[in-house]
Amino acid sequence: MVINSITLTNFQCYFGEMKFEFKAGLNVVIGDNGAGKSKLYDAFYWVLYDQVFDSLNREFKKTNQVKGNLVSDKAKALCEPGEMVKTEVEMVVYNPKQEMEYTLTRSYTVSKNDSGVLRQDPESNFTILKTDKFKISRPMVNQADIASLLKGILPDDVKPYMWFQGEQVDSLIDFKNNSTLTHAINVLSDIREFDFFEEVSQKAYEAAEKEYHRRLKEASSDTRKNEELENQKQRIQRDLARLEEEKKLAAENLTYAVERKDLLLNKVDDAQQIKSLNNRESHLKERLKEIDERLVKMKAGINKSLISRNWILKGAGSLVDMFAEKYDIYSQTRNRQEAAFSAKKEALDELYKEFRLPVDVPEPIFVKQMLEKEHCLVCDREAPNGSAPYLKILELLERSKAHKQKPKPEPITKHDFSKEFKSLYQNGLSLQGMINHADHEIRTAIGDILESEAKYKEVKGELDSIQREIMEAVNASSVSSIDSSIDIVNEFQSQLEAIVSSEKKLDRLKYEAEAKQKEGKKIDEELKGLSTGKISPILEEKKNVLEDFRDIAKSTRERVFNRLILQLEEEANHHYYSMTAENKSVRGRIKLEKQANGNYMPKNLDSEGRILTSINDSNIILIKLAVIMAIISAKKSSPAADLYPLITDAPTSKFGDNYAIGFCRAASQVYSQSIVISKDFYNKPDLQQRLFSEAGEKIGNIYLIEPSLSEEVQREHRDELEVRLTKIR
Amino acid sequence: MEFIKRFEDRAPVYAKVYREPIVNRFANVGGGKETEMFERGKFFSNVYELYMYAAMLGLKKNYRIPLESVETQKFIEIRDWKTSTELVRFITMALIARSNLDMNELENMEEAQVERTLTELKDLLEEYANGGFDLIYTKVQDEPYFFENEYCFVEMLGEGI
Amino acid sequence: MSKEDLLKEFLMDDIVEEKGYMTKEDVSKLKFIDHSNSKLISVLKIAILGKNDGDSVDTMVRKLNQTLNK
Repeated sequence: MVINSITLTNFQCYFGEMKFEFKAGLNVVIGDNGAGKSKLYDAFYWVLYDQVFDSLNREFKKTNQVKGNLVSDKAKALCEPGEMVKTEVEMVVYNPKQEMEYTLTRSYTVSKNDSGVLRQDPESNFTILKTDKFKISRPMVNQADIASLLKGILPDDVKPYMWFQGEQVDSLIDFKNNSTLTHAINVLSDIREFDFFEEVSQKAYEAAEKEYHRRLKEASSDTRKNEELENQKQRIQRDLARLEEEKKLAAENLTYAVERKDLLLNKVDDAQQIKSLNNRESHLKERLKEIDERLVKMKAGINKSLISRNWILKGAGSLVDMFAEKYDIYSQTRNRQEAAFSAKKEALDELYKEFRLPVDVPEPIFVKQMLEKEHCLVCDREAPNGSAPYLKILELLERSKAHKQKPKPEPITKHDFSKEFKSLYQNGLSLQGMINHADHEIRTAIGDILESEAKYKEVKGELDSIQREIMEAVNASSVSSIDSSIDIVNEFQSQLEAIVSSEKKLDRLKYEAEAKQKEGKKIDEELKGLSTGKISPILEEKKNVLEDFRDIAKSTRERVFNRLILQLEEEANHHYYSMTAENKSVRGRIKLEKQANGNYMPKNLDSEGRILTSINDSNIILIKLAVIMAIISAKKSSPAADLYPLITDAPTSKFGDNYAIGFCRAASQVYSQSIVISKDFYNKPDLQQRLFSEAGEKIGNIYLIEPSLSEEVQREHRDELEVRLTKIR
Repeated sequence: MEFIKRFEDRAPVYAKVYREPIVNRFANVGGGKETEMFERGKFFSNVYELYMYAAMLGLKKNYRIPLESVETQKFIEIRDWKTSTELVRFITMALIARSNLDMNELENMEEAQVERTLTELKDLLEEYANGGFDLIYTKVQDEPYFFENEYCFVEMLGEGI
Repeated sequence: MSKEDLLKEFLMDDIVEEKGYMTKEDVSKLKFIDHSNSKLISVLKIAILGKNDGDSVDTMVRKLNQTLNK
């Protein structure tokens, strides 16, 4: 189908009637932001599907949810009370094969009552007019026919790939969801045909096999054994089904692990480098901490030494000398005093010499007793009172009394501080010895501190430079942070291990499945052996032929699919190169890679076959578009490119100028009709010229739309907004 | 040990004006781990150690300032200056050396007079310490950055000797 | 795909040669309208024709079953 025209009447920002006419080939509608591009896209959507796109919530909404907002604000404002205003979109499509033209019209009405309040219809109104080559028009009423027509314009499953807005491209081929490509291929190519054959062959075989086994059972000599074997067979079937499930799961895990590993591959080297730098940094931090703690201790200790090692006495040696002088005088004087004292004592002693008692004189108390008793105890003689011995005893008594009265010599001084002064002096002397070392000790201690401080500075310098290195490495690499570098290396390791274990598992499962199948075949043989009657050879042949048919259908589908993939790859790269012709720098090559779980994923590889991680957003979208276009262009017999038009609004919104040209060029080559609604050519007459020359004879019509108000003003003056339409070509 | 013991019963004072800028700043009033205290900027574990430092400073330079008509601040008796008895003894010795005390005469004095002499000796200690504080304080005013060095007091030992 | 292409596509599968039905060389010379004794080829033709006619899966299975019962 070719879209000949679309006419908008009072539709959203389009006030009045606006008609766009289209031809085969590339048609472009150019408009700046706010001009009405997405509303034009809405018009196409609305006339066919009764829905418009709500860009705020990013979803399609039906008419009954949007209602009066469909109608131009200006039209509503100009509507007088008691009057109605209608919005309408009319699309004319042409089927060249049947030479039939269809006019699809959808309208929606609001009315203003007498008090000026708007009444909104609940639903829109839809009609189709069919016009044949003789220009005779008839309305289409048959619902089946209408459904068929709509499908013919654009089937539902193809729709997302042909009519899309820029924002939707991302989800069409989702790099994170590896079934999206498979899905697209299924929809857009004729691989479905082979799915049909596969299904048919499988069912046919199963039916034949069932029949065969039934006959075997009937013809069996031993029904019990037959049943036993059948049960075993069923168990084996169940086991095989379970193994299949496990295989699927292992394949999914393997796919995921490989994806992650590939993603991390480029990052690992960087990550490892960062990790090792990080280790050095930690090590240096440790050392710095050690040195700092040591410094603190040393400095605290040095102050302690002022007292504990008597450093405050530095230079105090002369004080000791001063005291020594004084002490000298003191002790000399003291000595003299002591000498004088001794002499005095001696003289006194001398003086009282005669009163010195003999050694063997008894104590005075005995003497008294002797006198009383009048008896000398020494010589044991009588000593009567008045006799010579009696008088001698009396004399002794007198002498001891006198001796007692001998005066003591006066003390040398009132106080004797000699011991204390001596101790002070000795203390001073011993410390004086130390004072001379103090200098050396102090210098050594300070020297140690200075050395440690220098070491600290050195290590700090090393630490600073390592930290700078780390920052540079992080910035230059694709690693996002220092922490993630450790995660990357660890995850990479674990994914490698996961890959090995998944592969091992898959091998094991395959082996197990094969063993089970062998078992199953053996049972089949046994079952056959049990049958006494002959099984009809026709039945057996039927089963065998259908088995072959099933295997061939399956294998062929896979073959065709693989071939399709290769073709797609080639086509996709062709389109991709065409789109990026002006920006060859970093684009790489598209590869459609088979995953373990059977799905295919588009990958972008550099010239060495490694995954390109530094591609920007525009390249990703281009790859997706290239793949979509490839699916459509690769199958020559596929109806998509020929029969369905591409309608897209701003897929190049993230691109630069060159990509916009590239995209249009590719589109003009792939689709027999494309309608591109874009802002990239707005206000760029040079670019528009290039567009004309690039698209060559495939160029259709080119329009320019401009709003009557600027975007900032639009909000407040909605009632005055309308669109101006200019046909450039 | 009559003489020394009686001297050590005394509790010398310092000029209150030095309490904030010097004593509280450089001496650790109250307990605490050595390195922690050091990190708080205190170079002396307690007040008397700082006092001994100041006294030695004055004694070495023979610089003393009488404490006349100034407010004073007490701390603890000399006998409680426990860190280093030998240092305390040394200071006592140095005081005697610097004073005009006649040791022989002292031995012949009456009790009351001995007491007076001891008081004079304590006064002398205060004066030398005061001189030392003055030297430190002047330096704090003139060269404040000097005290940002963690071993400034060690360095101060080497000056002008 | 056209009928010719479809038939050739299936017959070009390795299994066909392995099971001894036809060599690849013979397949390339084959035309859809050629008569064949091979039950496999009959099956393929019925399936291809049925697809073209828009037969459902169940219809196809029945047709194949009938053909092979003769």
